[in-house]
Amino acid sequence: MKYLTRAEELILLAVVRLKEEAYCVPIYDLVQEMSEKEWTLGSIYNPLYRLEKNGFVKSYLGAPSAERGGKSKRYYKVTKTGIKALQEIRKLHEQSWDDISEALI
Amino acid sequence: MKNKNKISKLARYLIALSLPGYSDDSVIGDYEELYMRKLSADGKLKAAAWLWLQIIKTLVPFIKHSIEWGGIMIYNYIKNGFRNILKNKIYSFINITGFAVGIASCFLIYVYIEAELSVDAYHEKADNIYRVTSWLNIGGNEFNGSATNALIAPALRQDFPEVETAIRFRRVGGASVRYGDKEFNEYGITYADETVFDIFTWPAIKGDLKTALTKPNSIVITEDFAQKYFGDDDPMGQTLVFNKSKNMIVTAVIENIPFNSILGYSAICSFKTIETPENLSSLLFTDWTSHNFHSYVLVKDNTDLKALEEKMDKLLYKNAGESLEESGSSKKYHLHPLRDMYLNPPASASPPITYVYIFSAVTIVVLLMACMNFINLSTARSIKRAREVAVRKVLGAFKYRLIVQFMTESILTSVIAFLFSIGLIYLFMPGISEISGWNFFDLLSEPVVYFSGLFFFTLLIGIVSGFYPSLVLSSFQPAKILRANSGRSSSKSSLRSVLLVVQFTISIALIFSTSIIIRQIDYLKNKDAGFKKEQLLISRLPSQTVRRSLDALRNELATVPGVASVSFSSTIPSWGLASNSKLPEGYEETQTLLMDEMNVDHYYIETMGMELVAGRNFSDEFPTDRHASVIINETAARKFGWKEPLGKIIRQRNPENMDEFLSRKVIGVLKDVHQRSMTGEIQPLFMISDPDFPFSFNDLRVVEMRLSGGDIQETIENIKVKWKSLFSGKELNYSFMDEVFNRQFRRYELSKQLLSYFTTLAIIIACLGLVGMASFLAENRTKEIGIRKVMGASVFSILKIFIKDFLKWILLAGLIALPVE
Repeated sequence: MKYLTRAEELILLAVVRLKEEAYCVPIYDLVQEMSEKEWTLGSIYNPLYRLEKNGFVKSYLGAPSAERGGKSKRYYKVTKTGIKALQEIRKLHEQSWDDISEALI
Repeated sequence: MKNKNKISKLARYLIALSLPGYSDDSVIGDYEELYMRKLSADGKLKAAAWLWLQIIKTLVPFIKHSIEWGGIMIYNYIKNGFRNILKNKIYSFINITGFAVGIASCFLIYVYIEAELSVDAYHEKADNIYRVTSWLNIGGNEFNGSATNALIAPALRQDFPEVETAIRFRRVGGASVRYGDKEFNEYGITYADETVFDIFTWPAIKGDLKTALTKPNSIVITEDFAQKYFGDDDPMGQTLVFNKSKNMIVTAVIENIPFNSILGYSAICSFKTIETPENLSSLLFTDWTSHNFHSYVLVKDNTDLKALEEKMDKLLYKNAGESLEESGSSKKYHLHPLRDMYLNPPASASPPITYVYIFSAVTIVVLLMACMNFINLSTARSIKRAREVAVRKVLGAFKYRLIVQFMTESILTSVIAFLFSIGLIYLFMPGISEISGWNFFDLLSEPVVYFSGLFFFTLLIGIVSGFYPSLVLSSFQPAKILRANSGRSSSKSSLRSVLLVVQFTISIALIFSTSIIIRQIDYLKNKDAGFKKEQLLISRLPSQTVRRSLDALRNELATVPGVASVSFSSTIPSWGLASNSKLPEGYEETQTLLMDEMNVDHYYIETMGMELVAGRNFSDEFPTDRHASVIINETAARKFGWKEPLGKIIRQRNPENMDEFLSRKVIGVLKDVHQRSMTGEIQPLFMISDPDFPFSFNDLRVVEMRLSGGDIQETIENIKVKWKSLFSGKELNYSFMDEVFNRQFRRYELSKQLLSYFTTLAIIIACLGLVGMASFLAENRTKEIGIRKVMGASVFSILKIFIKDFLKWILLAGLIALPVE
């Protein structure tokens, strides 16, 4: 099974954290906060698209909102497969970093 | 609620472009939300900056990505294309070669035709330039003349409002030109009136063309001429010495006259130079019925040519009506367009333009055949691969991919054919340059334009031939194909049969026509011309060699080992002769007849290998021969109705005094010689041996030397040495009579060779088509063959069946071709 990339991992975690309000803009803000780096919208979208294609995330269109000039928002939700992938990557991280002391790095 | 600060359309387009995946506008909505946030937080500028930064940062990797993957895809298609082409080496080779050869040939012919049609088209006012010619009727003989008198051009210029200007040309003839230590014989110089540059577009490099030829003894030279005599020095104002006596001052330098022009002069002298008082009062300039100049006229737009011609006729008759009537002749002016002078000359029986038409037709036909073949074979082959296609589809290939695959293959094939054809074109260029007389390397000096045209055409054919099978194939139902016997579709095969039959019909028709034409041409070439043209060296005497020393010259040249005899004459067969009216005995003064004239020495007949059928040659024993004798040919005797021609008198008007008649007595009759060309009727000949004859056109300036076999090269070397010693170091410029004479066939040679070539090509293409079809069909009927064999048929009987089918087609083609002949 393919591992999540770091970007995918981050974004997926953001989706988890945001629960009901997980659409692009908050994800974008949260990820930038979490990583303390600047991201482009594209680098949020493309992983999200891949994640959805691989079945880690599910998206649905919300209701059209007036403030958006009639456009709707696309909300994302983590799937069971997505959770499994996150757990896997967590385990992998813990196991790989287990014995490495600060001194070695 | 309108939001005035929405993102621009361009931004939205780019966002949608760079983020494929979601096709709804939630994405745009997200961007807008963030944009609005930035807007209220940091203002318009910062918001816009953020937006565009986002866009660029997403767009650039997207583009890179697409290119990378696109490239890989294309690379893969091409790799596959090549693999497929190589898989069927023979077929591919046939296809590509046939196509390339066909295209290369047709390209060359196209360039040739374009060159022929471009002659003298470069003049700005080309459409309004005409040569003054006339239809003559002298004693019942129709005759079309390209030359005029000296008077019509000035009259046109001064008195005719519909004429912008008109000029005369008169060739200087052979002249020695010297500047400093450089001296050469020049034959391409002409006199012309001062407004010549208003008619013809020959741009100046130095000097003012408006005034260059207004004074006598001025000369305008071309670049090459300047280079030859002056090198890098400035020629302006310098003096060139003509024939050791006349000084000409350079008043302007013009660009070289393009090679596609019938007026290929190397320099132009002012007409005023020959308008000396004595010339002006001589017949040369005053006789309305003479033909010693070439006149050109530039008319205003939309001039009524017929009306102009009639006005000119009226003027002619006003001035010369009496003398025309007296000699029983009539003359009508005709203005012949400059653009037509090359392809459709006024006096030509079969104008060269017919060849242009023929070649165009043949080219198109062969090109069509080549393309048909290409498409045919490609199609047939793709159908063979229907099975492969079916399998691919079953395995889940996209229809799109299949189409692209086939298209790539077909385009690849045509590109390879294109490259191949370029190689072929350069291979054939020297050959076709030689035959056609055009230097193709000059014609194609800017190959990019031509070759890109050719490339796109080839590409087009590639696309078309790939289009059909790929569309058809990719929509096949796989099951149908795999089940049935490999995709034989009835409608398509009948189309292909038709194409094949057409190809063969064309080939057979071409074979017939070509063999007929070749036979005719060879007949002409081998027909007896009336003299011996082999081993006869021809040259010209340099400038004004003193005539009296001709005998001495002859004796000197005859001492050269290898030279059997030497003679002089005013012209040789195929170089053209003067033609003037004469009054044979027994004819009324109004019934003059036109006779070809030439001036020879006593040794001409012998050196040329001609024969006298009656009477005697000119001889030193009879000093009156010079002024009082003439030799005529058989045609003349026949035309005059003379059973006993010897002793008869022929009279002509004295050129220096039109009221007087000069008489000559016939002393001999020459066996007919084709003095003008092998085609056309032999004209009556008036041959004299008079070194004092006044008109310079009939000077004895041509030298003939009969070589006596043995080592020709050595003899030529010896002659060269002797020539140098006789003419103070001048080089010998020579040709051989048979080459010279055969030049008249040049055009026929060209047609013959091209037609043979194209016939062969057509046959090859048709055969290739046949091979392709044959292999296709054979493979199609593999099952049938198998069954027949199992049932006990011999190989021979199977062959018979196939051959029968093909013969059917070929016979059909033959039947169609025959009535076409």
